[in-house]
Formats: sequence, structure tokens, C-alpha cells
Amino acid sequence: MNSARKDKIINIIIIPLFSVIIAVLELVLSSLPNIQLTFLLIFVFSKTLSLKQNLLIVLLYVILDNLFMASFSFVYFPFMLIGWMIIPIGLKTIFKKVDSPLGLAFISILFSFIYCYIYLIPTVLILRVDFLTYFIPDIPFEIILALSSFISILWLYAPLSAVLNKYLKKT
Amino acid sequence: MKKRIIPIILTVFAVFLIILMNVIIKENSKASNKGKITISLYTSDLMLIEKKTIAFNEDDTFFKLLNSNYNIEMDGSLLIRINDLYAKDIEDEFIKIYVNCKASSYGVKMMKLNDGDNIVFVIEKTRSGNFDNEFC
Repeated sequence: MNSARKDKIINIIIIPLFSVIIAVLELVLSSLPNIQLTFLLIFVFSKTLSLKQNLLIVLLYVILDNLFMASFSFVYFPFMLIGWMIIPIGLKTIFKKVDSPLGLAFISILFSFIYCYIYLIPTVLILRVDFLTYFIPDIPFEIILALSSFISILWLYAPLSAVLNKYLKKT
Repeated sequence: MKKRIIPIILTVFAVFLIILMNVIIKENSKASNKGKITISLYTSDLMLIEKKTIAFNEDDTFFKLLNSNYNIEMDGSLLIRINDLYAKDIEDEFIKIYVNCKASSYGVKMMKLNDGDNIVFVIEKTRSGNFDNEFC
């Protein structure tokens, strides 16, 4: 089998599989507000796979997540997509050289806040919710999201990356 | 071992902050004084099926009040039943909440009690395409 065909087959398997893994884990943890492994998984995939593969994983994941949560809304969908796509784009460009779990854990704090603030745009501008009414009570949730991303990446990024790299090398 | 000291310290600190944030969220959802709220239940075709005024005390939470006055059912953090208002299939419909005519940014577990608030629960079709943020 030639390499281009092999890559195509790997993509067909990997992209939906990884999207489903993220969406299912998010669903499983949905009863714990803002405790998730989504940042961890997107960080691992971003550092292991190509930008194109990551953007497709994020696109599929966002569609699946909206379907699972029955929350498909054209108000939030594009912003959710931007919020998640910023991570692989950032990790493949400005944070390309950061590979240590500690460094990535700190970067995840930044991305967590960016992700939360992106939601301010549709909430305030389209749904016309008062800025401070939304922003101030949301701060503790934003901090929990940032810290849960920080802890999960600090401890699980290295072992997960090692497993994924090993698996991808085998294929 | 030395390599792990910094991650361990940071993790302990982060866990402490997560617990602290949860305490803050819980405290924020408590009523700061006594009062009354009015709760109305509407079907998807906007028919009023129940309207009740309920008194609350200091330190009560909205969720506690709801739980003691209505037959409610949750799916995770999502309210799927309040008395006869039932979102049978969350893929098709859900219960939308309005506080003083405006769509609530928070779910029932996080909402705060304020004297005189007018709360509306209405069944809404998921694919209704209704982005209206007001219900009066």
C-alpha cells in the first residue's frame, strides 16, 4: 500500500475516533461543572497530529458535542468552534516550541480564559445579556475550567502523548 | 522525586483553588435576605399551566426551593421535569428559564434568589430556531 493511501486510511479512522473520544469524555463529565479532559486531549492531539487533522477533529467534536448535548445553536456554534480551534492553531504556531507538560499546563490556563471570553461575544452582542451580569458570576467557573485543564495536562499529557506517539509510529 | 515536587505543589494549590471556587459558587447561590418569588410554568404553545408565589428565607438556594415545592427531575445539571412540564426527549425539547422576562444565563442549580423575581419555565423545541432572549 502506498504511503498517501495509508495516510488517507489512517485519517479516516483517526479523525472521527479522536473526535468521538473527546465528545464522549465531555458528556461523561458533564455533571461536574467545568471539570473536563477536553483541553488535555486537544493539547495531546495538537502536539502529535498535523494542524489540518486537528482542525477536522475539532470540527467533528463540536458538531458531536452539540448533538449529544442537544444544544445545537447557530448563535454559539461558530464561537465554540473558534474557541476550540484556537488551541491547535496556537500550539502549532506561537507555542510550537513548548513541549514540557508544565509549560503546556500554564498555556492551557490562557486558552481556558480565551475560550470562556469568546462566549462573551454571542452572549452579550447577540443574546443581549448584560455584560457584568454574565461576566462576574462566570469568573469562578472560568477559574475551575482553567485549573482542571492545568492539572490534567500537568499529569496526563506526558503519558498520553507517549502512548499516542507509540501507536502512531506502529501504524 | 525532586522533579515532581513543583507539579505536586502546583496541583495541591490548584485543587485548593477549585474547592474554594466551588464554595464561592455555592455561597453566591444563597439568598442574602428573605423574600418571595413567582414561578410560572408554560407549555411549548405558551399555555400557562401553573403559577405560584413562594416565600424564601435567608441562605435558601433556588434549587432547594424548587426541590421542596415541585416534583423535579434532573438529567445531570439539566432540568427535564418540573411538575407537569416535562422535556421527554432532550434532543427535541428542553425547559428554558426566564428571570424577569430575560433568558437565564444559569441553570437551576446556580440561579440566585432575589426578592420579587418572576421566574418562567417554558418548554422549548430544540430546533425551533428561537433565539429570543425575552419572555414577558
